[in-house]
Amino acid sequence: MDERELHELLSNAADGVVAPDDLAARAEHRYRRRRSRTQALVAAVVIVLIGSSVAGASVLARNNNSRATMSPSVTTAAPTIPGPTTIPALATGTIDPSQINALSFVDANVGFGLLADNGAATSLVVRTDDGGRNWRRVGELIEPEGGLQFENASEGVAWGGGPLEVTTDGGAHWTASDPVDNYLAWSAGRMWALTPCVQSTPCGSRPVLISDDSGVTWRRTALLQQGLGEATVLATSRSTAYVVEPATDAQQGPWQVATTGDGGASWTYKPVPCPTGTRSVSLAFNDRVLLLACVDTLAGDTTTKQEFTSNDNGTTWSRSSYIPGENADLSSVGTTFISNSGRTGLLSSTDDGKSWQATLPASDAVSTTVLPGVGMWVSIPNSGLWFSRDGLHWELRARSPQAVPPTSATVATPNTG
Amino acid sequence: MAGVSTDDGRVAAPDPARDSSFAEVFAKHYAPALRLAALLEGDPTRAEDAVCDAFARVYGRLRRGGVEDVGPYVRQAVVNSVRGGWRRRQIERRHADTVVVTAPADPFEVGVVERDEVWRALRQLPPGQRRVVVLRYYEDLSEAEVAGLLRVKIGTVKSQAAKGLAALHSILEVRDG
Repeated sequence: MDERELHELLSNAADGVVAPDDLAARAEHRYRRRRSRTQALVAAVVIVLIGSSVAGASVLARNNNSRATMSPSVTTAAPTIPGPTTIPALATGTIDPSQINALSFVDANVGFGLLADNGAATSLVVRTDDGGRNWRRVGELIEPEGGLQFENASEGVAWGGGPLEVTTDGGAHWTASDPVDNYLAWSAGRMWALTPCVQSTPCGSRPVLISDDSGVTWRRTALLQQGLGEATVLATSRSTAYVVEPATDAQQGPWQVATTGDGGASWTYKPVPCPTGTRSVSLAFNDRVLLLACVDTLAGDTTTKQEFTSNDNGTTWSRSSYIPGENADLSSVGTTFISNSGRTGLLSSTDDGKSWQATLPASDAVSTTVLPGVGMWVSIPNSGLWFSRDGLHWELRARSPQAVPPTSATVATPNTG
Repeated sequence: MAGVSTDDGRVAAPDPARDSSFAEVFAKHYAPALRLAALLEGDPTRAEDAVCDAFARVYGRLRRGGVEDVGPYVRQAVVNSVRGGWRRRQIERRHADTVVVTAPADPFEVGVVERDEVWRALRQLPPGQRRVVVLRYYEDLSEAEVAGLLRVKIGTVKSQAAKGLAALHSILEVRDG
């Protein structure tokens, strides 16, 4: 089955979906029932709006003349967010740490991870107290999420699949936090959440959201002038953050970096030299320079990763090199830059991005996390969970039951410490 | 005619021009939006809620103005609504013992076996893979566009698309024998 056949199969299936003639009536009935029973249905306002609009009624009337005189409804109900979900006690069982798809550590020993569960319909939350060697289940998310950040052993957030979810009890219970989107950065106890402009309407100004209480409450920064397209955010301290994004709605450039040094009270803008056609960007800081990767998707989904560095906080940029591999998701461990290159594993650079070496191979997408001052953890499917203090020397903390031992030629220098 | 609720919950007076504009948008985009939502959900009955939710957002945005190209905006609203659908389902689950559920009308045309098999295959995919596969191969969007819509990295789109395609291939191959 090739992609065209799949398109035809999906189109054929979708063609069988027809709007029921009594949609508006059923929607209104459902709204009233739910509102009276729960007072907590976000979609209620919406359903009634559809039912009450002249537009909806007129369209439906064309399908069913008997509905042409349907009465509209009025509501002033405000959307509400469901409260904490109680998770039943979870049995311990065998956990394959290589399958962890999101990682976060709060110190050298205590860390958390997410594992796909229920056929990847939900995420299982797991915890380690010995640096990743052993894991136990502590909770479950409603949606499968792909990002995780814990500020301490109690407070953390998960995001990436559904809305951002917040825990204050070590991952046992989670609640949704509505205003936050899926681009997060953090530094020194402060989280930054970016809402990139990805809709093809004039984008204009949006704030970045900041949380100093691990995602429980959020406040707005000064407005950020955004263009249409992918964006990335990097925080290097409580006061300093960078947002790289298209400067206009042209989508493929020109690109700019917005910088704040005062905790979001103000932003300054400088152009970045990502070439025309850049589709996404990645940014990292190694205490010496900012490293920027501009990723372009070519025909056949081949990508190029042109990189630039700045040693004056993004004011000026100089071209550095090309990053090999399938992708370029940048991070840093101390002064070593790491590029998560997708299914080709991790690359490292110790010369501020001028040259790259394979440091940890992988045959599938890997998950990484860095705890400043401690090191980097990486989960590699069907291999295991690896740890490095410097991004160059790796220790296998937990082996996957399906592991194929790596060869000495593919791992830089095994470290038993 | 009664008014509709505003962003702050007050009731606004009806506006024939505004409603007429929405009528045009609704008429043009409702059916494609419903089909997209059905595929993203893997379930046409859930799609109705998602599309109602999406069109309310569109309605609010149209009232405020500034939507130059409605199609992509509706698509983004549908994707957002489907991704937020867990909240509705959570409430439904919590109140399942107190709510009388009315059986939905059969959204399929009767007797189309292949369609049912495709739907069953779609439902077997994890939600993330299903969304990527539908946006990539049904909507024919580029990886970058899918990443933008779902607000994930392009690498995630690549990985999810490859896994989803392989899983669908495997499921439908088994079907074919």
